[in-house]
Amino acid sequence: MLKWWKIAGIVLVLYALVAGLLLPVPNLPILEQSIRNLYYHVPMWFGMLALLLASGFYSAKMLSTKDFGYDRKAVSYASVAVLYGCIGLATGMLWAKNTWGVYWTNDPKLNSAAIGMLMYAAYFVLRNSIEDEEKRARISAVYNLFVLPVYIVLIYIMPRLTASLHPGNGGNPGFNSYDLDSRLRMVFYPAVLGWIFFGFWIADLQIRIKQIAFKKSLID
Amino acid sequence: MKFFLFQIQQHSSEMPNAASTEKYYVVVGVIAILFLGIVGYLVSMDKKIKELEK
Repeated sequence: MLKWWKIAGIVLVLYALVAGLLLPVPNLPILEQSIRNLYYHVPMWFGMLALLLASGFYSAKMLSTKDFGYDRKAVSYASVAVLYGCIGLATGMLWAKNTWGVYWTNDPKLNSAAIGMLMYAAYFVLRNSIEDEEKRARISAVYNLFVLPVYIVLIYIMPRLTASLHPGNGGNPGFNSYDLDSRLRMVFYPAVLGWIFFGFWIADLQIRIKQIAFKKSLID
Repeated sequence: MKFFLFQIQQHSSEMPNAASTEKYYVVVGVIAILFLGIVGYLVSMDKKIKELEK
């Protein structure tokens, strides 16, 4: 039997996928029906942040306890977070094409997201470049803890300080300020929660596979 | 589904025409089937891992 949060993840994501396309949305200029992408694009970034925080937490735990099981957890959460980031970028590019007319602009939010993704890509390159397991775990944990606050500053703080096309940044209003009828919230919040649970489920499977492989390597 | 239909009828002015609405259902159906396929794969993997852990 699956745990409650895994079932909740399935139900909430399925609800968000179906209701996101069928329930009515406010008819906003320029955005029009493309506002439905709010249910698919934004939850990816919330999910990515939650997974990266979990990854950072286990990296810190690994450094404090020297238990390499935590390193397996940290890398699994980071890999699912990067997957979410890729989906977030793809959905964002499609949305940008429909509202701004181009897939990518020289916008601080977009560029910061790309830099953030590259920093986490470097995390995996770094891991794969070190053969010694202990050294790899320690160095990648330190890098992970260094990258996490930089990522948060790049994605959530810096774009708010400069001019930006992206809603909720650089003086642009977020959706909250011009959507007061809560129709978006009915789908948006369950979508965020559902995708977070779903991401943790995928990471959980990856962690358990790695633990089995590790135990098998000890027996061999 | 009745709830969704009711909602769509209530806000028909904001929705595309009837032909497009039918296409909506096809898209929703395909997406739901794809998602349930992924869920089925994850559930079967979860079960296999549980057996291996035992």
